[in-house]
Amino acid sequence: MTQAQSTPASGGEESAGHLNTKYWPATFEERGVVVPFTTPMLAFARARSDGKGGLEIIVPGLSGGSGVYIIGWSGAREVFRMTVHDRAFHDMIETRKAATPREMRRCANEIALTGLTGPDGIDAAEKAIEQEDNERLLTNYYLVNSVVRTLASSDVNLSVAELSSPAGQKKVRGIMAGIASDLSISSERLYADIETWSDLIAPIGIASMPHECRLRRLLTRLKAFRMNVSAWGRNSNADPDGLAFLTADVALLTLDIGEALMGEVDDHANDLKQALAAWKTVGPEITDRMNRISWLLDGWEHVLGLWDSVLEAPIYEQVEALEEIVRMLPLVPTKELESQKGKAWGDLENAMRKFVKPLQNWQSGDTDIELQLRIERRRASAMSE
Amino acid sequence: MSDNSLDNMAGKVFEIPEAEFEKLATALDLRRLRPSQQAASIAMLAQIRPRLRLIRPPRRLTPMRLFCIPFEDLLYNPNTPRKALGQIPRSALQPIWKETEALLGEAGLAPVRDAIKTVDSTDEAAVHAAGRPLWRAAHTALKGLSAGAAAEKGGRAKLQERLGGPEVLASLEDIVMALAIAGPITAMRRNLPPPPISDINKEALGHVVDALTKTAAIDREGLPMLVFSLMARLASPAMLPKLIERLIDEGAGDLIKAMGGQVGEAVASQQEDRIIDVRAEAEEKKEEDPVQVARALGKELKTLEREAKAAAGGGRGVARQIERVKAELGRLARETVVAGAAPKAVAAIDALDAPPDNEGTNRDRFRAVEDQIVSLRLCKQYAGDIGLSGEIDTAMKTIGAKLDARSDDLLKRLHANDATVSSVDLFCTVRLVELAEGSEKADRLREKGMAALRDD
Repeated sequence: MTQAQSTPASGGEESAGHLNTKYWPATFEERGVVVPFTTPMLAFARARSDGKGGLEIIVPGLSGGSGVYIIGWSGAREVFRMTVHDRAFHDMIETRKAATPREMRRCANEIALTGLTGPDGIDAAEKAIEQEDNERLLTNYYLVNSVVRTLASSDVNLSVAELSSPAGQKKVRGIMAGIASDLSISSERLYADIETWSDLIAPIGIASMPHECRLRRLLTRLKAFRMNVSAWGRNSNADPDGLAFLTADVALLTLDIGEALMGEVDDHANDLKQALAAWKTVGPEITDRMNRISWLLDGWEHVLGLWDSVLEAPIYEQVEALEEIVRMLPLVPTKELESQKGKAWGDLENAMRKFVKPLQNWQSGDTDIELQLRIERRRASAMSE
Repeated sequence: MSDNSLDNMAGKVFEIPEAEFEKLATALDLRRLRPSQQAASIAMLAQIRPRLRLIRPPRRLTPMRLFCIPFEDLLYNPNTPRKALGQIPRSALQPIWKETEALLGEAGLAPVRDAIKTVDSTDEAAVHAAGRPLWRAAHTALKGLSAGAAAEKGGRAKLQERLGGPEVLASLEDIVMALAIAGPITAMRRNLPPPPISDINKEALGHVVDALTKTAAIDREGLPMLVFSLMARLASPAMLPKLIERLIDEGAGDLIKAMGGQVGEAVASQQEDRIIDVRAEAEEKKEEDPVQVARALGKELKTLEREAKAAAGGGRGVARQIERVKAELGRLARETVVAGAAPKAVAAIDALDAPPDNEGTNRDRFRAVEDQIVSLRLCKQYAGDIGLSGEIDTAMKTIGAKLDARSDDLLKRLHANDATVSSVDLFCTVRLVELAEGSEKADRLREKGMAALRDD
């Protein structure tokens, strides 16, 4: 692997790597998507397109320098001694060209289902898939119910039992036909648009749902994390460098942007008539916001899992966890910060540069079994949370 | 309620806004004072303790809490009634406070209650000022109680029985001493950074010397107590030897010498004391969770290494004591994890192909094998320190040979289109081979298995 200072991010050598001292990605695509590898040196590295139809892998703070290593996808197999799970995962990602959070999640679940991370990995993947299916169904139910309740000419409130009975479905079809007619679209179009809509927003659900879907729940957890990590920074006397405040700042920035994006998606569910009438423009807008939310939050589930795992641990383990968190913090790309111009985020980059601790001994021989198991546990909990 | 539900509830505790959480902690503290709600409040406070550690909201000041301030750093929670040198079990507090209340009477306690009504519990100096009269009075009363018992034939045995055990009586002696030197202890605490202390600068060192000098002026026997309090506040006990060297350089050599080897003895005693809980837990969990046992023993060994450094000045006796603890950990690892792991793993591998039964799923069977291998791998990381490398290598070889046989059998059956073999069987076996013998060999099995699956 070779090193070079500040080379363009997408101009790296094929299988060798280069060091990039630039910390702040411009776009989500440049930041890359977290790959839940289990090889300790690659844990939560990121994958992104290399701009030439292939992929490359980004590994932060690898060998003593502050910066990220960028390695051609196929080169990673030569540079790192990977776990068997990671070899299979690596192949799958390459075949599928998985470079978005949604695709990566799908690949991660599929590979865990094989059993290569053991029975616990299979359990976690099954739970994750079941939860996604349930959230999709639940979101669809609440959306249909909202449409019927809000737009039907008479007062209707449908129970799940009613919706699943033939008589109930017939009743709904009648009501929906009336709504479609009011919107001047066909019933089929209305059904299709609602289904597309609920599939799109299933990761956050609808604000009025009693259950928080995955990404909405992640934002709630991120809010709590920010509050607790700040309190730890204030009270622990173990954070002279202010890593906790730095982390809390990045979390706040993510929350600011994430809540605004989610608000925009929720607004459409509060104005169903307008949204369905203008679905041709609203649909792509929701798609864009949902993509940005999933990119924005990509990686945070691993950060939160890591912090949760040391909440009751001795202080030195909390300090170590925080150092690792800073190394893998999902920075908000500069393009997303355009709406945040009034805020002084400029210092953050300098702080990151100063505090990110390099991974040591990355070429040492044997795998640290305890570390690998910890990463596997964290990976499983992040996937199924 | 399932473990998952409890975890979810515990997780929610961290989502309560900070101001609300402070109100909750205050309310629970208040309810704890009412006898009818005491048990429930203590249980709930225990559940929210991790968040309390993070937020550290100001806690309601009570006479008992005020009483405990001089020795609060020494409190710990052993799982059985016992006491380590330099530590005081929390379970000893109630009986000793009851004695104190009885001895001081309403006349002695009323001014304390009045004083804490107006004290800002976040103002350390003010709290300490409010505590001084109580500490003086409690010291006189408890010292009298102890001396009276010592003077009477069989008096100490009677007092021990009344208090509830030898560990409470021993704690009483420590508390009497801590109350005697409450002034220097609390002053030192105010002048040092809050715990965990990772660095003591020259100015702070001066405050420690000052506290040692003032303690010696009150009672030289109190010097170890002061150092135990300091020790409990350090980020690592490994800082102690260097700190003691610096104290000697600062002219406190005479005072340090006066403590004899008590600091080193305390480090070793606390380590031995912890082993009692580790041993009990290992015995309890060795069947159901060998991985957890192996992990806990590894952690304990790491702590021991750190503390061995701290006890370096403690002389040969202390070094021998630490070696004994290490040997005990080795014995525990051998008995609870290593011995029997290979036969158990081999039996569990055999059971993978047994017909389904009500005992558990196929996944549980793989998990059982995985647990045996992982517990051995974890032990292997520290096996050299406790003389177990050879035994673990032998056990791993036995398991490896069994897995080789299973791998060959699986491949044959896959080539023969045996419908009873699934890809999950193959990949879970790959996983076991990886854990036992490394990723290269496991990956070769995966590739051969995939080729056999493709042939189908």
